[in-house]
Formats: sequence, C-alpha cells, structure tokens
Amino acid sequence: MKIQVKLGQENMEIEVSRQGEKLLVELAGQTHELRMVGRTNGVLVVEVNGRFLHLAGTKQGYKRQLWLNGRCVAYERLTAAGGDAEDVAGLLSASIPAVVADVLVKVGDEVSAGDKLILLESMKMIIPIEAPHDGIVADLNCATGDAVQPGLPLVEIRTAE
Amino acid sequence: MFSKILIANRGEIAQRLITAAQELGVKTVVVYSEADAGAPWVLAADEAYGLLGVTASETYLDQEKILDIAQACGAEGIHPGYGFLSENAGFAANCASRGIKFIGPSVDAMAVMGSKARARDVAVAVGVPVTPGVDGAGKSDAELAEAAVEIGYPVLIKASAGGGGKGMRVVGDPAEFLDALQVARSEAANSFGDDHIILEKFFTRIHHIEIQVLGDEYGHVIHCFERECSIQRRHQKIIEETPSPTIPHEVRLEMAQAAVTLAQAVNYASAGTVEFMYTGGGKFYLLEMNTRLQVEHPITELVTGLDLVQWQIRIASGERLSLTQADLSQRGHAIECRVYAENPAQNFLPSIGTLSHCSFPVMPHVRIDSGIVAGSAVTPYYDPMLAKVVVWGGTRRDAIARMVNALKRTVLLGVTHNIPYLLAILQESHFQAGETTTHYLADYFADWAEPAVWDDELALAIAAFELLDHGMSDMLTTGDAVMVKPDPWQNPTRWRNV
Repeated sequence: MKIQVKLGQENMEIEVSRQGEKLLVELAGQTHELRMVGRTNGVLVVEVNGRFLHLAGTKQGYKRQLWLNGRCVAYERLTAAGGDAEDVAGLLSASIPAVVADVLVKVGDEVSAGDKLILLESMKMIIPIEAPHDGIVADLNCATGDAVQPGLPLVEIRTAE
Repeated sequence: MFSKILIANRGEIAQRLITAAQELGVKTVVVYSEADAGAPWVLAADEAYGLLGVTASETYLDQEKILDIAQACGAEGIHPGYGFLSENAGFAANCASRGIKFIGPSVDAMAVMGSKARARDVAVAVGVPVTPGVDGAGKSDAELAEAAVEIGYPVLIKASAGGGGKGMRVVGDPAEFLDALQVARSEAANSFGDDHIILEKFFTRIHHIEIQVLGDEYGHVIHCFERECSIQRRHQKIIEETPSPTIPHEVRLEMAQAAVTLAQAVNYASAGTVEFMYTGGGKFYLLEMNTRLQVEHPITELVTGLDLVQWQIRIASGERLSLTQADLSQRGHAIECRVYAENPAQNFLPSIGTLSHCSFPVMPHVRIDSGIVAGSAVTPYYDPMLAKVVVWGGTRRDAIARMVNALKRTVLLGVTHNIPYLLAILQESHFQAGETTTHYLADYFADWAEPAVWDDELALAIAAFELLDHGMSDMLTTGDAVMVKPDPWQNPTRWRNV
C-alpha cells in the first residue's frame, strides 16, 4: 500500500507491504526489510538491515508525533484519496489552546451561517466558534470545561440535504 | 524539627519539596486542584486534600482554604515553593497569626525586598550597586538633559508610578532627549496621573547573574555562588548554568559579597536569590532580590553538594546554619534546561493535551525534576513547564554534551514541547563559546523553526508506525498512557505485581 504524509510543506509517499513478520519498505528503488525487535517503556525497537530505529509515536486524528532516535518529528497522514484531512469542510476546531467555556448547540440543531456554536476561553479572552454556513450540527466532540488543542475537530456542521 | 508540613504548590516543585521533607523524616501534606487530582506528586505525599476548582485563584492562591486545611491536619509549617504564595508577605503574616511557620524569610524581609523602591534604598544604604539613575522630581528639563549625558547614553526614561511599559522611552541620541522627555511625562501623567519620571542607564546586551544566599535566624548568612540565567525568552529563563561562563573570579566574589551584605541588611533567614545584571568590565547592578526558592536551584545543589530545600526546612525549624563560607566550593559545571509544553516556532504558544509518552533518561549526573507521567494532562490553568533536566559535568563542555544526550533521550509525546529548540541552542557556536547575553535568543533564534528533514530513517519509521495497527482507534499510540478510565478494582494485570 501507499502511505501519503505531509512533512512541513511537502507531501511524501512511501510504498510499504507486509510479508509475514516483516515490513517491506520501498525507497528510491531499494527494498528495506523491517523487523520488530522489542518494546521498552513505550519505545519500539525496529531493526532495518542490522540498524536499530528507536521509535515512539502518537496519533490524534490525522496528526502524528514521532520520537525517533533522539529527534522529534511532527507530520500529518493524508487520506487515501490524497486529500488534505485538514480541509474537510464543516469540521471546526480551535485555533489556539483553550478551554471550552460554553457549548451553545447540540447534535441535530439547525444552524445558520454566523451562529455562535461554542465559546472558547483562552488567555482571558472569549473566542466564539461560528457556523461557516447553514446546516445541521452533525457531531460534537467537546463539553464545557474541556481543555482543547488547536486543530482537533470540536464540532461538525453538515449542509442539510 | 517539624513533624508535618503542608506544601502549598503543585507539579515538579511539590515533588521536590516532598522528597526533601521525606529525607528529613517530616510528613508531607499536599493540597491539589481538581485538575491535579491523581497527579504523581499528589500520590507521593503522606496526606492530600482536594481544593474545589481549577484556576489558581480558586486553589493554590486561596490563602484561607489552605490555612484551614493546614490547621485541621496539624501541619506545623507551610512551604510555598516558588510562584503562587511564595512572595506574598501578607500570606506569611497570616501563617504566623494562625501559629503556622512560613518556610521562608521573615515577613519584614519579604515586604522590604518585595518593593523595588525600598529594596533600592536598602541597597544604596549598604553600598550595593544599583542601576545608575536620577530621580526627575523637581528637576528642570535642562538639568535632566545634563544628567543623561552624565549617566551615559542610551538612557531609559520611565514613569515613577509606572508599569507595563507605559511612560517608558529609550533614548539613544542626545538630540532626541527633550522630545522623548515630553512624551514620557505626558504618558506618565495620562496613565498614572503623575508626571514624576526617573532617568536610568539603559543596557541592551546584559548578563543575568544571580547569587544564591542562605541565612539562618541567628544572623549567619553565606552565599552559594552564582547562576548565569541569561538565556531568556519573553523575560523567562529557559537555560541556566553555574559557574557563569562570563564573569571573572574576582567579580564573582564581589557580587557574592554584595548579595550577602544585602541579605544581612534585612536579617534574611532562608534561601534567597539576589539578581544582578552584569554589563561587562566588572560592572554589575542590583535587579532585585527573590525571597524564595528559585526554579533553577538544582544547579547550585549539583556544584555545591548542598540541599537547599532541606536547609530551608531546617532553618525554619530553628536550626542553625552549621556551614561556613569556607566549607563551600563550586565543583565542576551544572546546567538546567526547562522543558516547556510550548511551540517556540509560534511565539512560544503554550501547548495543551495529554502526554501519551513520558520517559526520562536515567543516567549518571542527570537529574530530572518533574511532576508528570504518561497520561498526565497539560492544562491551560498553570505554568506549562513539564520538567527540569539538570546535568553535572566536570567542565562546561562535558555538561553541554551530557545535556544534549539527556534531552535526546527524553521522550515526551502528546504535546508540542521545546526540546528541539533547547537542543539547537546547546549546539549553537555562540552558546558553546559562552556568549550568553539576555539578547542571545533575539540575536540568533529570532525566526527559529524546527527543520523538517526528510531522510530514509524517517521514511522507514513512518512506514513502521503507520502500519503498527492499521485501522485501530484514533488514539493509537505506542505509549502506556491509559486513555479510558477502567474500573480501578477490575484490572488484575495492573495489580498483579504490586
């Protein structure tokens, strides 16, 4: 299968397949064999032709954070269709770390463009999240008092069919 | 010695205080906000009491609640740590009125040093150098222009009643002085209702050097040498070291003597820090005295072998400081890096979230002061410092190399943090050469962003990680953090080896 990721501003593609216990990764025409050696304290040890990759990772939605042999790398997994997961219309998130001060809608509510959906509080300011277009609240992923990170979808507005 | 003390703080410093008290055989009581329930430092205490609420003012700053708990549980002393109530002379007085010992200096010493003007007066009276300056009260514009030349350009004009940068003007050119003076006066009058201004020498590239002092209740004060804390972002220190790579030894001794003199002038009885700016050429000026334990105290502990927190507790319990100045020396070099949950590439915006991974290196001469574990939440309610990584080395170069290795082996995932930024600084040539002014980060790291380097190693790692558990939940992580709370009594694997 092909894995498409975005690192910084660049989109990259990796060809990977599974063969029993091994992973086969194709890079610049060369095939690398990966073998899982062990796991300590959340850090995986993966062997590639005798070399070790010490690897830890975490994933939230399409966002990834890796620790790899002493360096930290953040990247995004792109969807199979090649689209940028960030741009899904109607998925609204906080732009800065904040606390949810109030949730003004519930799933199923009809909203109009500009309606306030959620109030966020950060650095002593109240920041509203407003509906970008008319629609229906399809999903709510936060509650009053939650601490939220930028980029995580908090509410989804779907255009009424 | 106390039999039980209350710790009015949280996070890594609460853990640090618990350890010191335990080593002295003193029982510890912590108070914790709702956001901190279950934190490792809460679990480490002998007793813990929840405070309703999450904000600092509802919890760690609520004097009445904390004092009520201290009295109810029979705590004989309260250690305030740093921040929160640590420099609040009123709180220290309230402790005394309830018959509880405040583990810190006297109320008087805190009140004097807590006021910049009074601290400056004391310093002048005992001959400790303060920033060259002139009080503008009752002086004509011409007299002030003359004074500015005498002080030496650039000069800073600031409102006496001021704060927050209002009424402040830096003047580099004598031709602009009179205009700037008018503007500063009118700003001061508009903002504070008082056009009283002060003229001071302005320094751009200074070194922040501070002296640790330790005094007891019987008038004995010693110093524990200096710390250089010039690497600052947004006026907050991120890397500290001792000895200073900057000052000559005779200046070190002069500064240390000045600090001891100042501490003696207010009968200082605890650990405290006298902060100076060093402007080169042997010249230094008092910034302020911090009447509390400093965040960066561990580096002093590593080079002197002292335990400053234990001494604070021992001194507060009435013990004499049994050390003399001759007992102390600086051995080797120590560095501290403050690991923050923040994004250095986005103006140090705090990052919040849950730590899926949290593992620190266990190696010789590496000390980790932290109050987090995998699964801990980093909330927007408190300071986003995750940990202090502190190392000792025989030389500065050894200490830097050890720090680089320790930071590379610190695994923190789930929030954005400044380890890549710290690593870049430690490996930058001017830092390595010891050229560390308070302007250093602005000079060399103004537009820093973590380089995204694509290479085979990374591609292989991504392939392995993405295929780890194809199609599992959105919270996939290689870590041990438990994302869903299980029934605590129905998790036999967790208890099996207890």
